[in-house]
Amino acid sequence: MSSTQSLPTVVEALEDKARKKKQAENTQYHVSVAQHNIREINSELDDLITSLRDLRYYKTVFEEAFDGSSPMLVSSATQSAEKAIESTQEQLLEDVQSSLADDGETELGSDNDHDNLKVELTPKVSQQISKIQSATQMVDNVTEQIEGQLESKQKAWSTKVSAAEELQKILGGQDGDFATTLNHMHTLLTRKLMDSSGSASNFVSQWTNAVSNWEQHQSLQSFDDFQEKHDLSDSTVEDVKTLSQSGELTLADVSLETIKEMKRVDELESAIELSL
Amino acid sequence: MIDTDDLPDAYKIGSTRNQANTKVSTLLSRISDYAAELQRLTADEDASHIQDALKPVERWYDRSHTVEDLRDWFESLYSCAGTLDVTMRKSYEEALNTLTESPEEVKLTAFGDDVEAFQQLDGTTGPMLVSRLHDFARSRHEQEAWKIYEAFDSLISDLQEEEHSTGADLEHRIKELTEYSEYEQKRQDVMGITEDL
Repeated sequence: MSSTQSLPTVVEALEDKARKKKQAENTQYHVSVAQHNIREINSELDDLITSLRDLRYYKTVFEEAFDGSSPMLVSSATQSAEKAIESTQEQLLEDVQSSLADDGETELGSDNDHDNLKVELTPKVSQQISKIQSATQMVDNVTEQIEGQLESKQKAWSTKVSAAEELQKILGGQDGDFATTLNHMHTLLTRKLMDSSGSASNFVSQWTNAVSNWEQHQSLQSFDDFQEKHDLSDSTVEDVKTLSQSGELTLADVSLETIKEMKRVDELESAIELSL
Repeated sequence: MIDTDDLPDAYKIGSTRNQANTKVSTLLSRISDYAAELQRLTADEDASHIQDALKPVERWYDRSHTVEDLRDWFESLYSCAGTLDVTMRKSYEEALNTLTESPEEVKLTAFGDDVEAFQQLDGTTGPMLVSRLHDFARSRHEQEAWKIYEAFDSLISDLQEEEHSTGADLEHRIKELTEYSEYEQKRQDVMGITEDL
């Protein structure tokens, strides 16, 4: 202790020390308020990011794998997402403090403890949160639209793939490569397509490959294609279908023309067995 | 000096009733002992409690202080103690009480004179010192100022011992939050995805 200090000087110094401590306590409180506010925004941003990732997945798959054309709403949803994050860090720094403006001078002795106060969002932060929420909602809506359209594509392709698989079954799966493609397409359509956690570009490239293989086997895509390619009569097609379902026919049931047609087509010749 | 060796034992002190059987030499040697004892008193050894009491006073006392000053300053320090989490002693409450409720008991003028007198004890011995010792007891009893300055000294020391906390700038503290950097990261994420859309 310095004996050269006068009593009023020391009193003043100690008052200053106490005031600083009080300010530090206030600072701590305001830091907590700011932290709470930023956390709330971040949590909303997490939701927005999840929604945007979903949209990106479905949009990419829809446009690049299925030649779909995304709704116009995508761009307005995107814009509202961009608007919701217009506030820079510096702006945020101001926004989370806006409620502190009326704080005034730190008075010693006044017991302005903040411990019991409920931590609330500043008006600016509330505004930003509702912007983020409405952007998320818009993104979700447009994603839902694209999902709906994707589901129709999925349904149409599933029907086509099923028909081709049916034909493969009749022909005894002679084309192994195509059978594998059909199997892969089936998996892509039923398991991968609607799983937005996967990679969109990965799906697109797998699907594109599968479709190009599909296109190389036009005659094997359905019975109609098969009939057309080999110029088969309706009665022959009927007989082949009956064979594939019940497994047997007597020669009396089959016309000579049909037997000729069956002998002419390699796939049928090797698939149909005679037995006694 | 009193030399009782020269006194014949025939000199006695007593009342007319009991034949005066106390020797004068005995009386004188008792007086001599007392005087010698008095002479041996020194400010250093026998008034050390005065020196101790003077220390806090000498640290803070000034003739210019008024009771109002003391009251204001003590009230300030008292509220600082609340803020700085200093444990309140009974003496602080008593001092504050005296300053606010019964300032007339502080008696600063008399106190000032006494302090000056007690500061000049060096070399004072014998009956003079005894008289000073009595004065001191009276002074402490009459003037609350002694307790006031002691309370000041102790409270100031308590307050000065408390850790000094630094209130770092609010914006700086917010910028240091993990959440603050996470916000920017998430903004970049959103921008990255919207660019793809």
